[in-house]
Amino acid sequence: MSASPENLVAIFVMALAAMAAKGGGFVAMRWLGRHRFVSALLDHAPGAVLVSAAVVPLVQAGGAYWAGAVAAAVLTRTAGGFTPGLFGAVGAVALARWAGL
Amino acid sequence: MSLSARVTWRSFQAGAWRMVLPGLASLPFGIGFGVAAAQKGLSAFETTLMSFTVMAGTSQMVALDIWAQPLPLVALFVSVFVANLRYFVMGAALQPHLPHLPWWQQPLVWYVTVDQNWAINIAEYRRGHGDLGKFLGGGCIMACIWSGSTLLGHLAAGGVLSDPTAARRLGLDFVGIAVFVVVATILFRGKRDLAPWGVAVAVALAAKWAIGGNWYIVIGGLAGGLYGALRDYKKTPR
Repeated sequence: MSASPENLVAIFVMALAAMAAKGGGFVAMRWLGRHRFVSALLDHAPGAVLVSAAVVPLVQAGGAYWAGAVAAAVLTRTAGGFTPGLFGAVGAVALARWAGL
Repeated sequence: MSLSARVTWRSFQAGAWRMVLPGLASLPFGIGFGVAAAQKGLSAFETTLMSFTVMAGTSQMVALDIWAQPLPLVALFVSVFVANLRYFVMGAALQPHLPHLPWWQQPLVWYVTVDQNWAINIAEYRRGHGDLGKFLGGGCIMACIWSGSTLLGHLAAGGVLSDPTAARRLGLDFVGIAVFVVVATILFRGKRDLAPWGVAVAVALAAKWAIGGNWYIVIGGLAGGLYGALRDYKKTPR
């Protein structure tokens, strides 16, 4: 179980930075959250973050990923819920790649 | 105590089980990071400790890029903080659902605020049945899988475990994106979301093209959020 003191300090600094980013928004909202505009922003932010995170890999990868995304959306809406959508998406991508997409 | 801030062993387990598949999606990335860390001279213990305490793969990769002797501590702090800025937005979105969280539970919540775990749980909080136990359980299993996969990568260091083709054949490389699509589908509120999400998509694509890296997530998210907020703010009477 080897570890140099310098590396341990660096890892501690990194962990601190990660927690500062993760906790910063949470803490800031305790004061900012009272403002109507901030509440409105955060009403839209989660969906906006999710579609932003998904769209770039979809556009970059193309083919099989789009099949997976369509399967995910359709199954989530029709079967209802997270699990069918997730498994269906992964299955669709595997099938699409097997089919040569 | 309301459901949203209560933690039970049962809900913790349920949250953990739910996040096993999304957690496994990080296996190839984790193994790759372990290999890279080994090549930079970090020990297995240091690699695993970093993964368990930082719990943010992209920023860990960024940190490895600048890892040199003497270690640039300020640069490490800034680069890890900036690389994790999307969690700033995610944490802000989560806080209104957990307004009275005891101070000692807050760092635990921050720690488990990672992409897929946040996405699944914010959807439930917004629908009124969020569960802190599930959130913590999901984050715990993801921390274990992430740390374990980086340790595996370090030990294998370039052997058969670092081959990503098996994950691709099974479609497992898509799991992370699938979580985002599924949760976005759950959150979708029809016409009200079309324009803000359209703005987010366009800005995210432009940001990826112009800047590169992962900035597109926070930039697109903020752009879509700001558009929706401005539109709603103008409509509602003061």
